[in-house]
Amino acid sequence: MHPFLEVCGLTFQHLDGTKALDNVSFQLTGKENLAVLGPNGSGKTTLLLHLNGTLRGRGSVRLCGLEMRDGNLREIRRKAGLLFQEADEQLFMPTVLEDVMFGPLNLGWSAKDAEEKCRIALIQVGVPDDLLNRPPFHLSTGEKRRVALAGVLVMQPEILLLDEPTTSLDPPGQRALLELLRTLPQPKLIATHDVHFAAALSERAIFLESGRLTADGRLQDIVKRFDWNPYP
Amino acid sequence: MRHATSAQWSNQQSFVHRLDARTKLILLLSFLLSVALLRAPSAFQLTCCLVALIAVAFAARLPVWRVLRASLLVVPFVGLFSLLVYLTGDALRAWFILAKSYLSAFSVLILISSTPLPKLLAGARFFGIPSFLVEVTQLIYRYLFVLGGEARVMQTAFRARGGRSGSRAIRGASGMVAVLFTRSFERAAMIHQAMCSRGFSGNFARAGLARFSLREGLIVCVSIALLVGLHFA
Repeated sequence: MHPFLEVCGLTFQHLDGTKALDNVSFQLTGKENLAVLGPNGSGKTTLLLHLNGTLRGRGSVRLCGLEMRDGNLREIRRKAGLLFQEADEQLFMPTVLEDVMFGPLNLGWSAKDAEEKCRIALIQVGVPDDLLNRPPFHLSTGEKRRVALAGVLVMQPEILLLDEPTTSLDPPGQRALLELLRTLPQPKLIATHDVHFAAALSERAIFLESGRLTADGRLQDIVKRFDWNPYP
Repeated sequence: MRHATSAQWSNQQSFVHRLDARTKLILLLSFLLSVALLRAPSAFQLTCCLVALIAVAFAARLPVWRVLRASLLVVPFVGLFSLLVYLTGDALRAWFILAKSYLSAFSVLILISSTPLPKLLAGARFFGIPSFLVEVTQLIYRYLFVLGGEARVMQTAFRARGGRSGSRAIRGASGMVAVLFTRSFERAAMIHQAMCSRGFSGNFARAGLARFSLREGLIVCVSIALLVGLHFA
């Protein structure tokens, strides 16, 4: 039986020649979360972008039994929901509702069906009705993060890829996001510097350094080994 | 008008706000055409137009005085042309140009202030404006203010470190423009990635527009009849 997510020998080089990922390999079962730790510029975001086919490198990525290739891209992007670090980059449509509907309409759902599902997703993440026709520009950071998550959840993903999900959130916002993520059944890959947030969601972690995977194991062991706790 | 103000006004609730964007676009185009075709409008005709627009602004619950004042923005642009006509000895025509331009600006401002941009763009697309143009406008509208915010943050940082006006400020400003350009480029790349990650394949999938109701059709017919009637007044 195939693992839920299998990355094997993944290598990616930027146009300027910098190796962003260097022979990265790991596996994930469908019942666990995984924290992706590492210094700035170590390749965490690049790795996440590879897992839903936004970037393509050498090596192989297999998600939910689907090999990463052109013919599977549409389905892989639906199954792997990617939450970006900057919500402003993810919310590009003029209103909240239209933004959440962007993905479903791209999947070919009817407008009526898409709107119905979007409203459910927005309720699920706690976005009130009166925000639906507001431009995302006017929302608070916490609200933007929730709307971005609704845009991902509405596509009914089978795995969540979260890139620095706590960036710019105040402590109540972080707590609310954590509680929300705990209610979601999908396995999650969390790229973050926030060790406490990662530990609240995951027992396992991988550690990236200059694009290379240098550790894979228990999160607490990795934090200790790399002295990664900001407030020991 | 600042973005926050126009967005706030366009999202209010009123009879005018509830009208279909297509109806409002037809009415605007008819009004502009009608005003443009008034060769030598009488004071009565111009007053009728102004009163009608003020009535629409009232019905839309807009702050009429502020919209009237904002419409004056058109004067510096048309004023120069109007002055040239005046200097050629045709004072009446110069006055007509100014008055017609002001009325046109006022009507456009009422439309913008009573229709959220997404609905306006959907209406424009319905009338055959190329999708590409509409989508680019949509993205510019969304990110212009994000970049504006970034520019303001950089300006504050400049001042916080003792930046003052003068030759250094010009150097600082040129540096800021360069940084903004780079950030815009990087942001554009990230936005494209975000779009692709949600299934974007080059074309914006869109929800359909609501059906054009009989009531809307009636409003269009009556308004056009009134505008035609204006020419015989």
